[in-house]
Amino acid sequence: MAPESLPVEEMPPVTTAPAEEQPAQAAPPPAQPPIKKPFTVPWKPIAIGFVALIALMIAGSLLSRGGTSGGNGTTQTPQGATTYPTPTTVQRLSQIATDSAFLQFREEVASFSAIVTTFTLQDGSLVPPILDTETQIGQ
Amino acid sequence: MEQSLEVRFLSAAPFLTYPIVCIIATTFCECYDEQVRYIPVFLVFILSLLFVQVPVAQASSEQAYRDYQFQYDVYRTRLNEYRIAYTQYKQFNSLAAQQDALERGKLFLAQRSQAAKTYFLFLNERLSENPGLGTGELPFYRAVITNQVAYLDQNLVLAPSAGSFEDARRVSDEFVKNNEQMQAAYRQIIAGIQLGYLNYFAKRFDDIGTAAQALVAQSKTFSTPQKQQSMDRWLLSLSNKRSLFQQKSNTIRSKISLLTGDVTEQDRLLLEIQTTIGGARQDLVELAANLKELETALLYE
Repeated sequence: MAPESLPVEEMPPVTTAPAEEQPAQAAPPPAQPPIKKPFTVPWKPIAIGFVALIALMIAGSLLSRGGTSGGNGTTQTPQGATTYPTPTTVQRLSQIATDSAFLQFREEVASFSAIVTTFTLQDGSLVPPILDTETQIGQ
Repeated sequence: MEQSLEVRFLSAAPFLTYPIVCIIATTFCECYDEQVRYIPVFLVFILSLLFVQVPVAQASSEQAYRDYQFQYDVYRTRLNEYRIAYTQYKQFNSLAAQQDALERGKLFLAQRSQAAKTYFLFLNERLSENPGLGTGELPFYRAVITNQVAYLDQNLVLAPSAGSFEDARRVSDEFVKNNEQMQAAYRQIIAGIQLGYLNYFAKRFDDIGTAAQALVAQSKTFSTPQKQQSMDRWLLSLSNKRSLFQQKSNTIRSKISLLTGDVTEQDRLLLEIQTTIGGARQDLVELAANLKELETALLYE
């Protein structure tokens, strides 16, 4: 069944008017210079930015402090073993500890101890010579 | 006693130094004139002072020991030479070989006495250096050395005069006859030297012990009764140790006089003496440790 559409040859021709015949458009109004608004400092965004920056810094510092404190254990820094000093009883020096006689006594004791402990009785140079008494001359 | 080559060189060193210093001074010092002429002389004087000390220092027991070692080496060489010569004489049985063996034998006998003599001279130096020999012991040991050296000198003179193997054997028999006394003298002096050192240490301890008693007496005025008792105990321990040492020292002294007769028996007795000497030394070590304890007790309240 053929539709009721017309064949292409039978379509009404589209007539276009020549360009010369179109009416001239109206000229745009002359551009007027923009009215300059007086410059005003945008205090509001600056203040918001500044407050945001401060807040960011505070938050960063709090976060970093929380990390180094090892509270959550995410960033643990190596720490040395805790040392506890050995409890020692404090001994007070006696009254003669600074006497010249006692200081001389200490020196003599140290010298005597060093000599006695390092002294060796076995002296290899004292070994007597082994002289031949068996050889009989001419026999 | 022969001087070693080293000593002779060092003695001549100042005279060798002078021309060397002069050459250096004229070479490097452009202004070698009247003013600097005396610089080398001054340097030589200073160097001479340094070198003068050297022979004096080497005249101690070290030099005597080197002499003894040298003579002992020569003795061993002479002994080997005699044995070779005598073997050749037995092999060829010629008059020349016999004469050579006799000459080598005489040299061996003389050198044997010489080696023994230099050993006694070395012991004499060691006695001189010993700080602990008393006035009674040192003359005794010196007399022993003098007698032995005189005997060896006599043997030393007789050896070259031997005209036959018979004569040489007689000289050798004289040496062997004295061997026991000589060995006893060696051992007595060696033990005496060791005992001398122990006595020296004991004397030093006595001086320190006297000072310790004075300090303890001084500290009693301000120390607690417990502290006083502690220090008294240390003093008592020191006294006991010193007594033990003295007993060992007396034992050693008495045993030294028994070092006579058979050489094997002398060796056995010397071993006992050495053991006792080791024990006495241990007493001294413990005395030193006790002194340290007493020092600590005195140091603190």
